[in-house]
Amino acid sequence: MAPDSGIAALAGMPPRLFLQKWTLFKEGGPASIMHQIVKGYTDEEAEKIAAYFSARSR
Amino acid sequence: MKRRDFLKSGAALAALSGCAGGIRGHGHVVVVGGGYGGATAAKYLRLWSGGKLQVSLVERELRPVSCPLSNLVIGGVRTLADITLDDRALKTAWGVRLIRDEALGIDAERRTLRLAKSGALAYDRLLLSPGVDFLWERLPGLSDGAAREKIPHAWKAGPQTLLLRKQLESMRDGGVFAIAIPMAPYRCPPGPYERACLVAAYLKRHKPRSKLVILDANEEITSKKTLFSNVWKNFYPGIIEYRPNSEVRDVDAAHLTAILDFEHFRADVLNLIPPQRAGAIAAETGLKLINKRWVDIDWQTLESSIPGIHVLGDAVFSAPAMPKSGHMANQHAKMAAAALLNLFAGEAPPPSPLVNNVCYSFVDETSAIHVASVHRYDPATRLMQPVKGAGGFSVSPSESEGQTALAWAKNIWADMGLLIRLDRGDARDPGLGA
Repeated sequence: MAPDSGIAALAGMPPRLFLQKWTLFKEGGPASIMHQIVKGYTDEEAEKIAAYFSARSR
Repeated sequence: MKRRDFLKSGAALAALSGCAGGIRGHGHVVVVGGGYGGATAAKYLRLWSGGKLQVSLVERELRPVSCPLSNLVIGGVRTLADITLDDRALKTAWGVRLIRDEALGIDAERRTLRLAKSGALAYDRLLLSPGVDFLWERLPGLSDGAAREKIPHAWKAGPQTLLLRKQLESMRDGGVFAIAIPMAPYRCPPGPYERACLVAAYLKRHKPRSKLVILDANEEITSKKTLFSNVWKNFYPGIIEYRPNSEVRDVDAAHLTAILDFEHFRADVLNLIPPQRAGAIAAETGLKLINKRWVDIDWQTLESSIPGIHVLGDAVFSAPAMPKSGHMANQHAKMAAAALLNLFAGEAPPPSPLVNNVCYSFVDETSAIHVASVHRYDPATRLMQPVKGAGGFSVSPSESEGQTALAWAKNIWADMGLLIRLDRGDARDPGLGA
């Protein structure tokens, strides 16, 4: 994660919060690219991604 | 938290297949090329092996320069220092052995790489990320170095980027700046059109009587067609002229003239992007190529036709609808790192790799547009295939996406394990676990 990039870190994010945000994107929520990217992933894959980031330290 | 929190997750999604726990991986991987593909691969091999795997990175440049954002330097919006990369953190934070040298040849039987200065380097697996080289033999008029200074490509960032910037600055008002685009595939499909926008933005502001002519060998704009067409019409009317089916066959460097099938086109600045193939270390060492230009790889392992030699990034024969981009090279690197760790552990490679792409293009000093896609391994075709219904384009250019484009660069440089300096006087080390 680059410092001061304007994008907050995903590392350490609780999986539930991650999946809430993911779902908002899937429903077309405002984004640059993520509303288009999330459509390529299954729910199971989203859960794996959430688990991966929650286990990373900041 | 902002909505853009998720941008970075894209770069790490390929992590899925490689993050299975446990300490594994004994051996030595030599990575050739420290760009978007190679640097990422070196870092992730160290990260996912828990530091067990020995990784050497061969890069001939002391400070490689990023191709993404380099059109901003040509447009005068950024400096070359802003996009000059510092890979020392790969050594200090990630334990990668950095070798400043050039790879000249491969002995696949003995599994050694021949280097220009330091002799032979033994590997267990070799990972080539050499980018592209130019097919100079197609352009006899550019056979010598002096001609290439008169007619720059600026398609490998560095001195050529500054050269083109200087030519633009010293061009007279009322002059013609021409950009010649080769037949696809080439590195960075939207790159030439982004360059046209940034040159036109400069002309509009500083030399409004000038023109920009795009000589495109392709029959139409190869990326973000509608978005670029609209930008040219709305932002740069009377400045940009687009000519499809206009392949440059040769040049007359003395007269800054492009030679086309039925026309000689004289410009005040001629920026010719030559046709390309895989970098020499991949194209000239006996690996199976497709169309004599790009390396044929297995998409589960990124292994070439020669066992133990893997290739990624721009140098490979792209899968359907998969662009040659820095972001995609970063994703290839994670696919390769995950596969190599499995292979070292005596396991099958990840069965269905999944990656994504995003390319931001600036359309003026501050606004950008994007194209995004997701690609999944398809066992039936044994290729990565675009996932239907995913991906897409910007609706229109925006300053918000211009900011996101800069954030993309900073985050992918951090993901590559580099020191970050864009927008800052100081450099910061992202450090272990960042």
